[in-house]
Amino acid sequence: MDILFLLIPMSLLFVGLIALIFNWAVRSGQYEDLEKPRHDILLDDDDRPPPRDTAGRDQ
Amino acid sequence: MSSVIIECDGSLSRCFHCGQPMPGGARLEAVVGGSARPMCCHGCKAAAETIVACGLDRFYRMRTGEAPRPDEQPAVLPARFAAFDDPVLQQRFVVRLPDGDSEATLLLDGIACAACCWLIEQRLAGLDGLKDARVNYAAHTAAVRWDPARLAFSGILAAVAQLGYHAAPYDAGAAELQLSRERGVQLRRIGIAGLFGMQIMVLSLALYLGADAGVDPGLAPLFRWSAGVLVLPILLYSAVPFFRGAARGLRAHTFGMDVPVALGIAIAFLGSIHSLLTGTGHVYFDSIAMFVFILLCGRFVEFSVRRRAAAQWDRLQRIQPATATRLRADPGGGHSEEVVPVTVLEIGDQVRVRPGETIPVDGKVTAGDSSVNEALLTGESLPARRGPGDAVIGGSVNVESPLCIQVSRIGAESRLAQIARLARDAESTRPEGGTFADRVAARFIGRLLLIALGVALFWWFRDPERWIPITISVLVITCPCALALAAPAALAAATGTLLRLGLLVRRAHAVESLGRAMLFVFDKTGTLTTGELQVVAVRVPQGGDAAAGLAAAAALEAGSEHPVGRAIRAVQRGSVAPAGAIRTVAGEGVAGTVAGCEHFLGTPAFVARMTDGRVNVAAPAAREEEGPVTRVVLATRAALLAEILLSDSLREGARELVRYLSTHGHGVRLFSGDGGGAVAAIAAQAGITHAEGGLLPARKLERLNQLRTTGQVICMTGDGVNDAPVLAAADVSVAVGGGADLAQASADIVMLGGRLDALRAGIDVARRTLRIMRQNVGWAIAYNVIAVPLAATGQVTPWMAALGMSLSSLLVVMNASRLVRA
Repeated sequence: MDILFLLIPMSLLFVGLIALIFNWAVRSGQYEDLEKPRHDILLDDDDRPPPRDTAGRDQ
Repeated sequence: MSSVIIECDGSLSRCFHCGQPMPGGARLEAVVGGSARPMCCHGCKAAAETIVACGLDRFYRMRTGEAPRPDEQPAVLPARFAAFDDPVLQQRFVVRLPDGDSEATLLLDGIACAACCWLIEQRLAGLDGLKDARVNYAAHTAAVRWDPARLAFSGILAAVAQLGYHAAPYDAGAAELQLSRERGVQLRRIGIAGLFGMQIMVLSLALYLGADAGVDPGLAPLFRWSAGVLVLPILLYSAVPFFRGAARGLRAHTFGMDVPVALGIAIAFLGSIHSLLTGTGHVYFDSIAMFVFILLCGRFVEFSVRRRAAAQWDRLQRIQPATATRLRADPGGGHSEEVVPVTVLEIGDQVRVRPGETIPVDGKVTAGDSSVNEALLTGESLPARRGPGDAVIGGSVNVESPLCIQVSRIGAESRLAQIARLARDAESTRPEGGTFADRVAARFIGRLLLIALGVALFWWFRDPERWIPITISVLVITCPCALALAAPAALAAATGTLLRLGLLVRRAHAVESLGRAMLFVFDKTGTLTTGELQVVAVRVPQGGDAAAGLAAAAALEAGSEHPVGRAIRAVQRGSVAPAGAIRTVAGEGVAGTVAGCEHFLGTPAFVARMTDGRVNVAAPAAREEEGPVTRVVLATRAALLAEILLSDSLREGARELVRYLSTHGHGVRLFSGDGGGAVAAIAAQAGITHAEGGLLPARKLERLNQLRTTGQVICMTGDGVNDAPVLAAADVSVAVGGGADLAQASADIVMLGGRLDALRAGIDVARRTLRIMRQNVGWAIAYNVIAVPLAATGQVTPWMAALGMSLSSLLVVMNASRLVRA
């Protein structure tokens, strides 16, 4: 169990590092818009023309 | 009957573009995706055709929400936005980049789903001269960069508006930046508390269960000291707002919620340090971490919801620019027009106000003859006639024909500014009642300290070895986590629910006060009523044809923006060819040729004059139940064709709202600036027994203050500038969205969409919120009543304390979440 004397201080270092990364993420605006990016991948334009046969929501 | 059949037919009854029910009458269609789709209005049709023409019809398959309903007249859009091309005005929101491009942020209104963002981005990307456009879905803003030599700023706004969305330039004010920074700081505090808290929990688990699991007891000091180090960032960074709030509270001698919270954290920390140094007793670092994390989360949710409501309100305020069209005398003797910000106008300047525009300043009419709607300023429901020499008030709306106005008062001297000052003064006199949870906390903290003192003294004499650990466990157990969460959790849930109902909560105390309100005061014009005239009856002489009369009247009023004209057109189903040779006499009536025969429509006096008295326009004896009505007469040169009676009518849901309030034992009153007769009639229709008319803004305020001496919590609902002082003075106030800006700025809650049934539902939510807050507080106190004796007798182990605290907090949050389903 002596290894804990090394592992626990190491975990302290890691959590400090994670805190710094989190801090950077907030500052650089990663949390500004949590809605649109997840839609962007679906809405991205590709060059193929949209298929015609599925047109219309009400059919 | 045909319209009824259409409405019953599922897929056909709704507009394909905006999803609103199709009106009766002429049907419109647009071709989308290869087949014709029903369109409810020309605005939707134009927007849908624009979308298809731009090759963006995929929007209709990707969207998950309905598109907003556009303005009816897309053709006038570019002209409306032309004011934004003014270089002076642009300085406020356009940034010129070194490479010659311009950059600006737009506020967007009407975005319902991510497909809307896609649509706007694609549409803007198709504009010649546009370099970059990115839409932020969460903030409903768009950042655009363009080449000003190839594209005018108004062109960008018009392109967005053609799709049916509203766009306005956005100058991020200091307050906005501050809020955005504050959000970042709050997020960081939560993140730090969560990250470090998780590590502490791992170590604490080892401490709680380690001895049973066979962990070497010699490792315990390592766990304890590590947890002690990990708690420092939480204490020194995440928990700072609680300590600051407590210090502020102590300085102001008010024991708010922050005082017990800060005390709980401090005592738990000092006690744990004591245990750490002496090597005996328990450490409570895990409790500190969890407590701070949960509390910060609760406050963050409440803050976010309110910020969203505030941002939405802010957006509504900025849609229209405050500009005026100034006339400059040319050397040649003519006039040239220029669009300028209202703030640069000076006394003596000439401004032109087109029909439908808001008169920008107080002034005197120098040319033109029109009707002016002062409903928002005075509460009067009918437009008044204004001709050369008459005074007009800034903020009223020009109805019929262009007016030239000479500016007579500006800035602080204007009527609008005077009423705004009255509202500000009224607001400063409003009593600052602490919130319910704060008052409970103030009582709670005193008792808590007394009990702890008693426990400490008892153990000091009984067993001096144990007095410190036992006193600390009492203080930690009573740590008012659940109490501190009781109010924010309920308020956050309620504010979100109200927002969905269309009620924007602008101030934190509003939900609580609305739930407590006992006396409800309403304004009349524009609040309980729609503020628009509606046809209530069409009377024809013996053998006459009411439908034909209405059609002729609609033909005469085809191009009119006068409330009477709009009301007549609204009841005329099907399209009508406009009358020929239309002549309008402002404030009196209109003459024109229908089916080859000259017709007159207007006040009885006007018709009598035009027909040289040949037509008998005398009114039959007024019937009592009709109340005061506006009466217009339609006649040819030889005969009376029809009489049309119009009146300002109750908003949908007004009667139900009054009945709901009455059955719940609340007082309902009506305060109006309009004349007594109209007020009494509307009050009778709505079922209100106490109604007062003819009240000036200052007098309204006086009456409200008189009512307040009875000690009842008063809720005021209004829409006009003349209501602003009362709205500011009332304990809680609701402004009708779309009313005067000043009224909305003075109110605690803004009611979007003008739906009174939403207000009724909102009152219900507020009352339930109050009930849930009481339940939460009751639970938090009950928990303490059980836990304190156990802790005081030394029966509580640390894991019991931690579990008890978590469960009580969880229960409070789950109870509050019931408000989300409404």
